[in-house]
Amino acid sequence: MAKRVLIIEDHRETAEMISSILQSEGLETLTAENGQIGVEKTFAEKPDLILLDIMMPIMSGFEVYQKVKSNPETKDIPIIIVSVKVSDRSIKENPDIGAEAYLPKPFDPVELVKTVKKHLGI
Amino acid sequence: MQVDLQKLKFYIYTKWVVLTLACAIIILELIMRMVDLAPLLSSFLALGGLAIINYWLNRSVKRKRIPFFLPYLALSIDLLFVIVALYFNGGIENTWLFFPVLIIFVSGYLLDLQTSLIFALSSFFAVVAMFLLENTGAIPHFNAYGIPTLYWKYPAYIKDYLIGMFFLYFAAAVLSGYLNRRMQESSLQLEKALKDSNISRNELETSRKAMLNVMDDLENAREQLDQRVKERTAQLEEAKATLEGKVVERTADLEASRKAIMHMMKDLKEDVAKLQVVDRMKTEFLSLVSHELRTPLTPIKGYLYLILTGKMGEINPEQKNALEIVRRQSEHLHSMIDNILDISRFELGKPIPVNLEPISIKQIIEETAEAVVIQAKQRGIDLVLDIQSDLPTILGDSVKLKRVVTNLVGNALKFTPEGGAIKVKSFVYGTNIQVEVVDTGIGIDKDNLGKIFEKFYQVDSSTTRATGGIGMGLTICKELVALHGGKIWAESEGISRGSKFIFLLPIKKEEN
Repeated sequence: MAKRVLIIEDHRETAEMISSILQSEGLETLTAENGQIGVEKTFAEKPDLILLDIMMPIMSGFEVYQKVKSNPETKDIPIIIVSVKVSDRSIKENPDIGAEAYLPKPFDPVELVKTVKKHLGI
Repeated sequence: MQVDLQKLKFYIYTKWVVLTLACAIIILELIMRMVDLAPLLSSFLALGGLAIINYWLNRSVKRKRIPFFLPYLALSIDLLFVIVALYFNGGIENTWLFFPVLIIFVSGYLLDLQTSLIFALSSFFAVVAMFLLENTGAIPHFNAYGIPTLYWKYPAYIKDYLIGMFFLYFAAAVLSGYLNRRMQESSLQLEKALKDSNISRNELETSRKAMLNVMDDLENAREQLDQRVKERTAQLEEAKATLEGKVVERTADLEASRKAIMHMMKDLKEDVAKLQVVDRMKTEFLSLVSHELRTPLTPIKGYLYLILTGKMGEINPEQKNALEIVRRQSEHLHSMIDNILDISRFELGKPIPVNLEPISIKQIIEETAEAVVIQAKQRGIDLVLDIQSDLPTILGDSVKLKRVVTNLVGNALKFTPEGGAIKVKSFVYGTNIQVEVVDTGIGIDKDNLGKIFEKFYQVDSSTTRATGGIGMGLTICKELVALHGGKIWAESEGISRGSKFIFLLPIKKEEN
């Protein structure tokens, strides 16, 4: 059974691109265009991995992260933060954010695939 | 001849005394009725004549205009009076017959030896004549004081008497003349001495005058000095006043300048503050822009990957070549955006996050070279790697260091003409790993070697347009190398003689 990856990203083109790459690697993908939907889909679908953007309308990546990690059912899902802000101090120095990996935008697709596969244990 | 005034005065004084005494005697005789009145009257007349002459003499002495004959006349009359007086008082019998001696003496004393001799001779002849005339009866004889005749008739007695008188008279004449001469000599000597003393006095006077002249000169000099001191003092006072005025003026000028400068500084501070705000806004804007630019770049890179890897269907070599160019340019865009972001972080004083992990410089260089090797080949540039095989791993941020190498190699590619060569060397140097990027490009002027690491610095702004840089690459390199505790610098032999960029990274032992 193919692993499922949830992409929480408000930038539609980026989300589609990431989906295409991961699908070409044989993974199943879900997308959410904002944090609110992202959290709902996480609780509903329980994906194997989440790619999370930070700067999003309605609900920011930080909130999504906290909600996902504070839910016992979803707290073990690995989260990779994919953000233009990924190297900012605000993320790095936030003790509540203990994301499994960071990928700064624009990332190298090869790097993306490598990181995702690593955290899926493939 | 010159008659001594002092002697004359003495003579006149004496004569006054004698005349007064004579008068007194005559008056006494008259009172005592020893003589007759008639001869007494004649005596008074004679005395009066003598007095007149004496008065004349006295007056001329006082006027200091003495007729030369006057002393002779006076003495002659004196003598005549004495002779006449003797004649009427016993003549040759009179015991006062020596009396002419006094006249003779005075004449010698007063005038000279010759005169006294003449007087002596005259007296003697007068006495002799008187005797002879009385004796022959030519003239009558008068008895003295009414005393009967004694011996005027006895020639023997008279002869002795006359001889005595002769010697007496002449002795008086000679003695007085001698005395006079002696006195004159003394007087001459005295005069000479006086003259000498006068000369000395003149000399003294001359010296005194000379002295006075000297003192006058000194006084004049002192006055001149005083005058000059006063003038100079006045000049100094004036200069001082002028100077003080100038100082006041200058102080005022300085104060004005100071105020102007303070004003300018205030303005400058305001300007600087405004500029700082503007600069911060610019930096924040750059940061924002670089973030915004990343978002669209992400799908571009992703889809390029998908197409180029054939995951979205086969593409022909021509399409692949074109897409490869797009990919490289997007990489370039990516690195420029990263540079802008880093620069804006420096500007804002934000620390650049460094993700330290054991890294291999060899791998970083090889990956960088791999990314540009096609580009280099297309431009006919020979890219050579010379990396020490047993290069140790160091703690570093591979992303940052890769950006340093990329920047340096990218610069080398930009500034090296076709057919040139780029060599990347790496080796252990002391406690550091040294990385060199050497090219055969346009080189760097010595004056610019230090400046090229400054922000936005371009050696020649025309190279910016031709090579597509914004002058931040080396600034970023410097900051990123510094983050690793290393240093970076450039060397060049000069324009068109190639460049060499070197950076050192310290090899740190991993801490347990």
